[in-house]
Amino acid sequence: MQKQYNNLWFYIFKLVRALIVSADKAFVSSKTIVLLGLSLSLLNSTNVFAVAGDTITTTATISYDIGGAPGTSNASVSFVEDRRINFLVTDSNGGSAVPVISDMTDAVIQFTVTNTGNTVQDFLVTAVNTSPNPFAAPADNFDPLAGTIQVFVESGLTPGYQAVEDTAVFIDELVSNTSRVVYVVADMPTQVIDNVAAIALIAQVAESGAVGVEGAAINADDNGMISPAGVFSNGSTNMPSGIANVIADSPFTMETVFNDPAGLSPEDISTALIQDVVRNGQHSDAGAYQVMSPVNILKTVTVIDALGGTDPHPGATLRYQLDVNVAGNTPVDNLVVTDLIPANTTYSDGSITLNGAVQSDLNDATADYSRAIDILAKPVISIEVDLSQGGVLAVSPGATNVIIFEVTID
Amino acid sequence: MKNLKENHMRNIWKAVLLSVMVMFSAVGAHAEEGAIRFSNNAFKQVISKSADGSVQYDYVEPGLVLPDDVILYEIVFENISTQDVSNIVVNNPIANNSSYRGSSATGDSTEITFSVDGKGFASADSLTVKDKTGRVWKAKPEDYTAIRWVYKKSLKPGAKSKVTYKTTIK
Repeated sequence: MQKQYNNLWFYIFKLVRALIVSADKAFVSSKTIVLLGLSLSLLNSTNVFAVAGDTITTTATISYDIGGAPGTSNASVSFVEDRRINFLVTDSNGGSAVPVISDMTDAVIQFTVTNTGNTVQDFLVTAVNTSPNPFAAPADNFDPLAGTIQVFVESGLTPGYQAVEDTAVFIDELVSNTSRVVYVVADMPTQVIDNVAAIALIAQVAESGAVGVEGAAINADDNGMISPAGVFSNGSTNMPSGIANVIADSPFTMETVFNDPAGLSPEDISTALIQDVVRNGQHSDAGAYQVMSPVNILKTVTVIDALGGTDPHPGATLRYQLDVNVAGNTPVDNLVVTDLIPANTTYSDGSITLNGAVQSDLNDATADYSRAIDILAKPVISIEVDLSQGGVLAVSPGATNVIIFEVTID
Repeated sequence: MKNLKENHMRNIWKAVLLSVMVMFSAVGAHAEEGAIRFSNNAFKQVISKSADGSVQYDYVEPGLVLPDDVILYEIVFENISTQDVSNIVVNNPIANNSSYRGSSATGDSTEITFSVDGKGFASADSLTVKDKTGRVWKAKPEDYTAIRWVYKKSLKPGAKSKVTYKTTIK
């Protein structure tokens, strides 16, 4: 009797050992791939990388003595961790509108999409016009040129939008608790300064699928929640509305549960074009373009006194320099720069230069496009330089036009 | 889904344990028939607030299990032999994707110890871990990898007992 128990005990011991060892090995190997490339500091916490769909298993063992002989037994219990879909879209432009210039092309608003669910997912993205202005005032009052709004995903090669690198139109394989930057790129119509165009970025959860391949949109969970229909991936993916589907919870299969939050504000809309609701597989946030002046002028002054120093005493010369720069990517028409002669100073005749070339003070457009007003009826109260040469020349972005004039202190 | 009240946990054995055991037989939970009938069961904790403000803990089938859910494990052992069974020791590793909840292990007439490596066992107060620099810290519940219950009595024929603990899903 005792011998039989001993043999049985030995057999069961080996079986249990084998089960435990194989379970441990399986666990380690399934996580090893995930561990690659991640911080070694996380290695001590073996269970950090919980993933939906994992079977959670534990095996209890019992040992005992009966009639002087040892016995042992074991019992396992398993269930499957279900999939919680949760993610956030946030405007990431420093909490303010992105400055743009009238008629600008490829104006960029940046967003961040963060996967807070418990497994890797793809996310489909789209951007739509929305209102009101997420930054309060002034009101949203224009839209980018129709058909020009596109969305691209940061490649990870160079920070900031790079047209050549950032060409992906969906977020591929976003691991739990990681983020990806997404750019909305659009062309601006002709607008006056301060006008605002609000844009919502909407992310839609999708299956992770294969690396580099856009996963199928998940437009319904297993809990009766659905996504509204939407067009994603710059028009290439047309997702129908989900069909409500309730699957009984089972310990043996992975159920999917939408747990995404609602949009915070009225402008944070879903593809139903109403404020995003909880648990619809979508989340959104809004950013805005705001039109700014395309022309920047940097004005500096240098004092030149009669003794060659920099003391601004009476009779000393003040040399003013205006660096005129056009921002953005659209040339500016009719760009005329004027500046007043300061009080208690007198314009130095013939001192205007444009990019080093001496300009005449006379209103003589055929000779040059600068003048002192009015050199023929002194005192001169202002200077004027017409960079567009009478409306003929468009001033291109990039180059700096340098205007210099001088006055003397009375 | 059937809800189980904690104050009726003893009735679970009759009412639900059998069905749970059948349910889990597909994934290997079972009692190896020897002197001891042994089973391992998992329930999801569901907290609800009644109208009067009292909090109620229900334990249900772990059908929908998401991060941060609390799982109650109940390990039952029954003497199905005709002799006393002594020196009973129950050992249970903490499951993958799970962390032990501090002070949750229970068991009548048991001495409970824990392990951070599955080999050395010590009481919760004296268990330590080493960090990467070799510095020794008191082990936190989430560091535990296994629990051991030493049953201090002998189990009479027909008698049964149980031990329990809780985990949080990662």
